[in-house]
Amino acid sequence: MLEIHGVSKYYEDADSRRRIPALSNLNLRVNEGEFVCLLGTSGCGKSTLLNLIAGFIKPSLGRLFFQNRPITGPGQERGVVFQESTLFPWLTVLQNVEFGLKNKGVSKNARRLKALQSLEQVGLKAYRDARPHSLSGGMRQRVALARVWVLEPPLLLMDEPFSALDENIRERLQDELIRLWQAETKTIVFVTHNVNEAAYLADRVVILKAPPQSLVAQVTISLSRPRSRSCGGNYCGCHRIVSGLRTKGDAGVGLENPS
Amino acid sequence: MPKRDQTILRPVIKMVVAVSPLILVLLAWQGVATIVTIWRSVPFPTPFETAARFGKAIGGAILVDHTLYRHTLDSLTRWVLSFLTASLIGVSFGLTAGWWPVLEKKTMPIVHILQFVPGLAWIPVAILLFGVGEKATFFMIAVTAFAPVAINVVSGVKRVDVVYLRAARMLGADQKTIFLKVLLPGALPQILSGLRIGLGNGWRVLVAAEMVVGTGTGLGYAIVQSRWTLDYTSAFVCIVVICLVGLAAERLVFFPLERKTVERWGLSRGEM
Repeated sequence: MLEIHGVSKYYEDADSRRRIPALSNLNLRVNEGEFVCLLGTSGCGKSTLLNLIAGFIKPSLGRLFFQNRPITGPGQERGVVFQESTLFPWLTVLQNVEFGLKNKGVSKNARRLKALQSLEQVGLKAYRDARPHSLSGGMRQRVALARVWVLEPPLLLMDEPFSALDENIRERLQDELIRLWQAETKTIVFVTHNVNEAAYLADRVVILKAPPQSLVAQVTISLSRPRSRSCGGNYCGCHRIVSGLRTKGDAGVGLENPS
Repeated sequence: MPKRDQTILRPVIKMVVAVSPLILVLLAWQGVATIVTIWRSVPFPTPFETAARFGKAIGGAILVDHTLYRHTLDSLTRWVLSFLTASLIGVSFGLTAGWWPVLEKKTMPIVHILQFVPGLAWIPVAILLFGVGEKATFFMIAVTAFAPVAINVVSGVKRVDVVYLRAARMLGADQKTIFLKVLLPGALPQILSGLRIGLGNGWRVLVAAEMVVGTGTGLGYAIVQSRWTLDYTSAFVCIVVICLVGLAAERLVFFPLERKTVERWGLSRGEM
């Protein structure tokens, strides 16, 4: 459903006026219903790639196709959950979730009903009238997820959405995400620098590195779900994969050790 | 019983602290009045004389040709009308220029220059354009209030975080929605401070304009007229009213507006 052909992205450095490559000649295909993690350290271009897919920025070279149509700009069919909360502070939780529906032209009653359903799915119906700033980081990301989920986008793009959260909240949100994803089959592209997170969530992990290499390796994870988290000293399937990812990463990526 | 003393004393102390700046001002005023009256042997109005005259004016006594009410109301009308015009133009221009870099580049230098023109320097321009009278004062207030409003709105819009714009577009917002539902509220903290500065500037230039561009009524007019009749106490009454109006605008208009919006959203002024 998503095809990326020979995409490169350069930024111009304001001082030296030199072109700095962020992504070079990347080819990637994402299939319908797949959960793909883009894994890599900061500066590897994983967020750039996500922004390209979202349509926030344009590639310097190459082309991106979504459902066989070229990507020209952002749109509701590619929902984005950002690293930090981008909920509108001037709207209530409910109004934030209704924002996209309103743009779609959904009638007021239908809008309210859908938004409340979506909030219920993330367990925040009781906070409908709260302002984003009064919520915790985890709650805000839940609302941010509800805000795009309610639009039923075929593709969900997530840019390190849980990286700023505490360990236990992060794990809970990962499980909720998997539960939602399994209930309504969607395609998810999820950016992370956390090896464990990638191993726990993804069907396929795409390991990225700073240009000129960009794409280092792709690892398919065929572990059944729900997966185990106990990767510490005990042996489990996931342990093998994590160390596998780390070795592949270490070949050049130097992934940071998750705590 | 010390405990009860404290509970009685606390509100008293609070009140004393609250009014102490006012008492200081009154004391200083009284001191200056006494010294000037002795030293230069001119009758400098004291706080008591001013209060007494203020009381009479409240009762409806004539103060420089008209009642105090007439003067105040006329000044307020001029102020509010021209300020509203200036802020309407300033906010719409600011939103557009903040959003559209070409317009900003071409026009903002002019606005920045406007900001450096002192309000009173517009007097000859205003008189040449509109003659002596209401239109000239209107022009002077509007032109002085416009620049700070426009400048603040532009910088407010430019400081709206790009992630909000991206999120809005991802959620399918069209240009109009982005303008009204994202840029406008996002820039509101700065818009409010621009309006506050514009309002203050406008009020100051209004009083000054009434002094020069003969309007026949108004607080500024009354102040300058009282000079000819040596009725300085009336002038002081008008100065007090001017201060009270400024204070009221701040407390009754801007504070509630900020509490309702910016504070409730968890943003502080100048943030974002």
